[in-house]
Amino acid sequence: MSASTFEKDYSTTPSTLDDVETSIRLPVLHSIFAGAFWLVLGTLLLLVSLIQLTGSSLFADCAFLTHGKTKPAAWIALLYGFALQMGIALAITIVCRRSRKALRHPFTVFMASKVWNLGVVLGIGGVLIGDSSGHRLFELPVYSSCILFLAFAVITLKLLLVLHFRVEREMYIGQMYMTAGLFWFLWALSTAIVLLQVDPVPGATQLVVGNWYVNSVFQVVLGCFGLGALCYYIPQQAGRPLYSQELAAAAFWMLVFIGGWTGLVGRYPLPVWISAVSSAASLLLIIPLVTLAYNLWRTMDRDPASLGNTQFIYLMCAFGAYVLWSVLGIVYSRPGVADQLQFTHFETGLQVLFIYGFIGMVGLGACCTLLPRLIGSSCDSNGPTWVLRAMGLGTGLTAFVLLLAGWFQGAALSNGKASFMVSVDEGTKLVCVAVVGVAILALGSVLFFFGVTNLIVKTILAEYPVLNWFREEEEVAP
Amino acid sequence: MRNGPVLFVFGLLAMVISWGCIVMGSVKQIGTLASHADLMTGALYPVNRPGTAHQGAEVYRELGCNQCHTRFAVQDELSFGAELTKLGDATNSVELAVAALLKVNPEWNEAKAKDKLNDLPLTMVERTIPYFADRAVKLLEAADAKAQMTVYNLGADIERGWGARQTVARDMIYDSTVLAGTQRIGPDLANIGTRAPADHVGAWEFTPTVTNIVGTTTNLTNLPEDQRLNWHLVHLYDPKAHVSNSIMPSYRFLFRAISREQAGTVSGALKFPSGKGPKTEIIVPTRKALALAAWLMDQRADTSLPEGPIPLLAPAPEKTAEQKAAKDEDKAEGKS
Repeated sequence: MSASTFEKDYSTTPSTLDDVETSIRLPVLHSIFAGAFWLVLGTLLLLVSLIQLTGSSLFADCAFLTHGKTKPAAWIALLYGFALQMGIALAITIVCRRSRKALRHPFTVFMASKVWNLGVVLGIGGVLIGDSSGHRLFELPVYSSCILFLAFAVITLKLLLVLHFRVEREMYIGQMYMTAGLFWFLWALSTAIVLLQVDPVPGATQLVVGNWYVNSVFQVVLGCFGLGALCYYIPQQAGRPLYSQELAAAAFWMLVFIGGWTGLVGRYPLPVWISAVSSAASLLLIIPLVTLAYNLWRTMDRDPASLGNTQFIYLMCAFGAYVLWSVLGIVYSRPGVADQLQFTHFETGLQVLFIYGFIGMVGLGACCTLLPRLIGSSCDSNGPTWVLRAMGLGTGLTAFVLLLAGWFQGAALSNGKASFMVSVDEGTKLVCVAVVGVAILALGSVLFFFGVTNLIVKTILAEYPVLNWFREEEEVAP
Repeated sequence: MRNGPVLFVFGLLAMVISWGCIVMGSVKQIGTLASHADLMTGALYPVNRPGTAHQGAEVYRELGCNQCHTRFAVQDELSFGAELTKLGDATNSVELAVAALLKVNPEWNEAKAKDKLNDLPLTMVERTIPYFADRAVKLLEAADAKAQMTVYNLGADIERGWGARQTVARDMIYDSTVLAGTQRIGPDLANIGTRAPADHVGAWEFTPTVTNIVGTTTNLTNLPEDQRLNWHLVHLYDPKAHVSNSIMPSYRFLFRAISREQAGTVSGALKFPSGKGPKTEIIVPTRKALALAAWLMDQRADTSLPEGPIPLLAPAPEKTAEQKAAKDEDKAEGKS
C-alpha cells in the first residue's frame, strides 16, 4: 500500500454512518451467519452428548461419535464457532461505528473470518478423528488453533488501525471492552498454543495454563465482548447515555485486572496458593459486578411500557444471565463449595448459562437491530420473538437442571461411604430433563439460523436481480 | 479516556501481571519437579511409562476418556496422630510412660494407662492438629519411650478406596499431556492400576490386601496380571458385563470379532464372565485396546512422597532369638 492510499484510508475525516455500515456489512453478516450455523451444529452435538450420558447406546458403535468426542466437538462449535465469532461481529460493529471510521479493505476481514471458520471446521474434524489435544475447552488440534490465531490476529490488526485513526478521540466504554477482549484473546490463545501444544510445559503445570486460558476466554474475552455490547445497546434502547461513564470505566478496569486471576479454584494437584489467590480474586469480582449492574440498571430505568420491545428483553435476559453466572461463579469459588461441586454437571450448567444465556442473548439482541440495518430491510417481527422464547426457555431449563444435577451429584460424591454409582444415578436422572432443555435450544437455534439465512438470501436476490430469474423459472416450470 | 497508548499500557499490565504470576509462577514452582528417590530403597518415583502404556495414553486422549474420568484423587486436610511403639529400657519405664500418657490423655486413669501399655503399638491421640500429636510424641520421648507421629489421609476419595493418598503434581511429571479430567461421570482412574474388582458385587469394590490407618483399603490387588488385563479388556468391550448399571459406552470398535469356526489359531481372546459375551464369536483386542488396558493398569500413585505421605506404618523388624533373649534378661534384671 502506498503512502497516499494509506493516508486516504486512515485519514481523520469522519465516515458517514452509511459508509461505516457498508464497509462492515460483508464481514459482519458472514460472522453472524457462520455463528448461527455453528450454534445449530454445536447445540445438536451437545444434545447427542447429553443423550449419551443417560446411558443410551446412541452412536455407541461409531468411533467418531463417542461421548468423549461429541462433547468437546459441541463445545468447540459453541465456543469458537458461535460465541467468539459473535464477539468478533460485535467488536467490528461497535469499534467502527463508535470510531466513525469505515472499515477499509473489508474483504481482508471477510477472508480472515473465512479462515477462522476453516480453523473451527478443522478443530471439530480433528477432535472427531481423534486428534484432540486433551485440554478442557481447548481440545483443538495444533493445526486448527494456529489457523484460529492467524485469522484472529488479522481481524485484531484491522480493528486496531480503525481504532488508531478514530475520529472520536474520546474512547467509548464499549470500544474499551472490545479492544481488551481482542488483545486478551490473542495473548491467551498464543500462550495456550505455545505452552500446551508447541512446547508443552511439564506435568501439572499444563493444568494451570489450561485453566488460566479457559478462564481468560470466559471471564475476560467473552465477558468483555458481551459487556461491551450491553454498554452499547442498552443506552441505545433506553434512549439516553450510559448513567455513569466513570463507573463503567471503573468496572472495566477492575474486571480486566481481577478477571485473569480467577478460575483455578477446586482441588487440583497444584500448589495451594494458586487456588487461594484464585478464590480471593473471584470474591473481589463482586465489586465490578455490582458497579456494572448498578450502572446498567440506572441506565435502563425507563418507561415500563417499552419493556415489550424484543431487543430490550434479549438484553435484559443477557444482563440477568451474566449477573447470575457471576454470582454462581463467586459462590462456586468458595473452598467448601468448590470441593463439593468440582467434578459434577455444575460446571457444564455454568457454561450453558454463559454461552447461551449471556453471549447468545447479547448476540441475538444485537442482531435485532444490526441485521435490518446492514441488510436494509426489516425482518419478520414474530421471528425474533419465537427465537427468544425458545432460547430463553431452553437456556433456563438446561442450566437450572444441570446446576441442580451438579449439586446432587456433588453431595453423593462427597460422601465416601456411599457407592460411586449413587452419584452417577443422581446426575443421570436430571440429565434426562436437561436433554429436553437442549432440544428446545436446538429448536431456537434452528429458527435463528433460518431467520438469518432468509434475510441474507432476500438481500442477495434484491441486489442481484438476475438471480430472481431462476426463481421465476422454477415458478413457471410446473 | 482519550489516550490510546496509556490504555494499551494499562491493559497490557493487567494481562502480564496475571499471566506472569499464575502461569509463569507455577511453571517456576512445579515445572522443575523431578522423580523422588526413596530414602530406604533408593527407588525412583515416578518413572516414565513403558512403551505400550505410553501408547495407551495416546488412545485415552484420542477417545476423550478424560471427558468422563478424572485422574486425580483428592483428600481433605491432613490429620495427625501419635503412636507409642516401644517403652524405654530403664527399670521405671512403665511408670514414666504412664505419667506421660496421663499428661497426653488427662481423662485416662493410671490403671487404664497401664492396661493400654500391654498392647503396643498404642495410639495415644488420633485425628488431631500437629501441635497435639507433636506434644504427645515429645512427652513420651522424654519418658525414654519410642513414639512417632502418624498421618491420616481423610476424604471421600480415600474412604472410597480411590487411592491411599491425594494425587500431587509430582505424580504427573512424565505425562506428555496431562489428562486430568474435569468430570466424574465415571470413577477416578488415578489408581486404577492398584485396584482389582471383586466379583461384580458392586461397581468398584476391590480386593482388600492392605488396610491403612483409617480402616479403608488401598486396593493392592492380588490378581495375576493376565486376569487384570482381561478384566479391563472385557470392561472396555462390554461395561455391563461387570457392572450391570454402568452408563459407560461400549468400545467394541477397539476389538475384532472372529467366528468360532475360524478361531482355531487365534490367541488372546477375551474371557467373559459366565453368561456374558457373544455366543458364536470370539473377541480379540486390537493393539489400541491392549495399549489402553496396559495404560490403565499402569495408573498407580501408591508411593509415599514428602508432599503426599501414605499413612502406612512399616512393620517392626523381626527380632532375632539372641535379641529376644537379651531383652528377656533385661526385663528379669529390672524386675529383680
